[in-house]
Amino acid sequence: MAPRLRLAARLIAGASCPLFAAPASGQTDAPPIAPSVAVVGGEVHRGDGEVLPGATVLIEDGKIAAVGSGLAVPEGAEIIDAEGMVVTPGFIDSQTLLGAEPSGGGALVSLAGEPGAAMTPAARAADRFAEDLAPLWLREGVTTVYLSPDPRLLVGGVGAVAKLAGARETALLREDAAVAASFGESAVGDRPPGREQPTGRTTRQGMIYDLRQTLIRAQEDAVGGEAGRTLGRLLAGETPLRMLVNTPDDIETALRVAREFDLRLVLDQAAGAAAVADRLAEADIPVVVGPAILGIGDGGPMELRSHSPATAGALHRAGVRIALSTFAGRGRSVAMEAVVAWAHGLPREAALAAVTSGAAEILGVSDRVGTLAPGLDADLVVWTEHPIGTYARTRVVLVDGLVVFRRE
Amino acid sequence: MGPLVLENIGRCRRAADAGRRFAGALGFAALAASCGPPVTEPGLIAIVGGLVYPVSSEPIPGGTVLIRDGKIEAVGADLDLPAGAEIIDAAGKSVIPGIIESHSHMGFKVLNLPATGSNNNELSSPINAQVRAIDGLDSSDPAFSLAVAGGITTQNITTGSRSPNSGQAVLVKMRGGTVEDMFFAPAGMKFAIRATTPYPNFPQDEAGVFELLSRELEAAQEYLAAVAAHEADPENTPRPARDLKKEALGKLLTREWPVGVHSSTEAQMRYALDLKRKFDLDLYIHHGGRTDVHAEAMAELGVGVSFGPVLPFDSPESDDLLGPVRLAELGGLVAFHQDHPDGHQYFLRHTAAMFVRRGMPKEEALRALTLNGARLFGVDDRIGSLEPGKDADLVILGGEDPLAYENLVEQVFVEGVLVFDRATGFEVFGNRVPEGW
Repeated sequence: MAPRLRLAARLIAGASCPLFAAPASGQTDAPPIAPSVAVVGGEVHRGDGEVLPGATVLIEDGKIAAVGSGLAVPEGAEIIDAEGMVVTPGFIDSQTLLGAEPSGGGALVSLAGEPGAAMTPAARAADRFAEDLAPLWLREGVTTVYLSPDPRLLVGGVGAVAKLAGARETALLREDAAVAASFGESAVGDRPPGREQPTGRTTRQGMIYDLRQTLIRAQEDAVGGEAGRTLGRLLAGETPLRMLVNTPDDIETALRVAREFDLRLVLDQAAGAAAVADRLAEADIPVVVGPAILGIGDGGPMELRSHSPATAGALHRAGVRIALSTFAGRGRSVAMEAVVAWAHGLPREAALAAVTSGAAEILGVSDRVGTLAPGLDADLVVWTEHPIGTYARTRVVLVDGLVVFRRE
Repeated sequence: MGPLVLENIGRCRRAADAGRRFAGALGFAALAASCGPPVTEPGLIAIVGGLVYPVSSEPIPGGTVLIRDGKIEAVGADLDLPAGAEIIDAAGKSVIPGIIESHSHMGFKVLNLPATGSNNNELSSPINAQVRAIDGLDSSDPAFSLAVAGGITTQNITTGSRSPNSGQAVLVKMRGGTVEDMFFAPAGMKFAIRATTPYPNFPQDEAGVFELLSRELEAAQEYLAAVAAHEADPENTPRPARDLKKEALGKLLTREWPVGVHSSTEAQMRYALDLKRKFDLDLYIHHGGRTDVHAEAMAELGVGVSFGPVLPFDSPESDDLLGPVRLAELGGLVAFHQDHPDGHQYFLRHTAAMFVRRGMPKEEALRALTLNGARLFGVDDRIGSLEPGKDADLVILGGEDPLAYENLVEQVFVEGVLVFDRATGFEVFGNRVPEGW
């Protein structure tokens, strides 16, 4: 536990320092960690809605040095010709189960001071980080992912944000991205025998009571150890609560609890969110929309049956901040999720933002990734055409200024 | 004809559709009266101006599909339109055959009912060849409506895969109504080579499943031989007592029926191919996660794959889509499925788009959505392509490229009846399709 805490402390301290100010081109004394690169002539979609036709992206030391038209290419820079192609930030999948079994970390405990819902608040998804987690996704243009702890528990632990390329020091963007929680059928059950969830409660109201009681005990410093520290950061607003909820009523319950404890709330999956979109917009609660192509499920949660590929578009129209996700453990990329959301009513540039800048903002990593802006990490993708479309293919993928995939 | 008349056509068409669906309840004269003077001949429809993909032949820009009485009468570029045809303008759109879902449990695992009400798996015995899917279907499953909105016109509803042989599958058309109304054709049998069946008397591993299936097929061989001996010499050789299980398995041995074998790992698929070699069945693979390993053998043996579901999760770490891409390159047969309710049937076109992204040629992906499903079940003389004489099952998409996911389904015809129309509201078989689908 101790080394991990030290690493966490270092990363948290690091994140608060202005580490990532734009290095002035050619002024650094230290040897570059990556060669200078110029991605030239592409239609650059910065990720925040701004589109620059025929623009150049200059990369120094793994960071974006400049983006614009008519930029001089520094001598010796590797030139990537993006003429006739589209350049975007690396895509972000805002909810995944990549890595080992998501429930692998932490003992199941009840923290309500009495027998109740099982939780693993001390579990840390960052422990699942490994290099080369999803090479296929990297080839599909996905460079950053949210790693979820067990999404079926009332409090499943702490989620992390990581890049899919690079060593731990650069790739693990946030070890404490969110505290994951869920209730409703996803956590309670309504499942066939053999697929019960590891919880001591059998109703929504039972789980929510446990959550309230646990948060009250944490406020009173009655929860010790790593679990107490996790809940303390949550109560202090340092980390948001990522609540997996689906029905409109469950969403409102999540809002109610967040209000009571003054928590920062991010909704996960949220199949029924369109019905309460105005309320979410008013409270500025962002939503990580669950996969559009979700199956209806084999005896799975009934609450998912209201899901729709039009949810992302409906939330966007109401003014809710959104990110897209696959909730995937292994094989698919979030790029087609954006295509589906676009086909069902999300404007094309908004779909792009939901897998780049908007996602980075919701995940709390917009100081590093998600936008092609000076000072940010040089994670970018050269596509054969606009990536929000069935036929877009990646041509070159860079992470921290290094080419990690190239298709001839 | 002026625009006013065309407007009338739309109203009459919907009335006529209702009439066809509730045939007998409404007389045709009554319909004509409600529409004013008849301007079109009932059942005669011309879809004009679209990019027509017959699938069995080259695409036809600005093509016409002429439908009469539920059948395709003609497909071509410069057809003379017969008088009285209802004209549907498909300019800027594509026209493709109805999409065929090759592996579904719709009506078994009913949407909005708990799993306990499922008729998906008969588990009293490991071999259920005598059990017929059609006898347990619930036609009121609202999932049928969303399937139509996704362009599905025919689906293979198969029993589950918890037993080595879960029973007989059935092809249904998306006509609405009861199971009898929807019935199209038998769809053979389902085997499953997997060892996840903790039931008494079930084989405990995949080798045991293979052994059991072999034994049952051999017993059916003996049964067929005994029946043949009786027929050759009825006076001296008694007919064996009728055995529905062996009769059904016998239809696999004579290749009257196909058999789809649930198998996904390398070993499971090897056992499936061994069954093919041993009994020369009309056999194809369901799921086929390691088609990449077996593609050459499958192409050589004529074993196709119904691949799927392509979900956002639960796929092998290898790029499992490359297997079917390779099999198709080798001339093998690839169809797609969503395995409702594991995958959402509406998104079968998403699966095709994923394959195109992985390098499958567009025409091959379109074939996998349509004609290849028909070939799996031996009904390609009736559905799967736009050819004269075939059923008028077709889909109009909102753009000229049917493989681009973003060109959504606009209209769906089953046997010449408009069952889904994006423009006139989202009501299919009495169920509301939610806005935005």
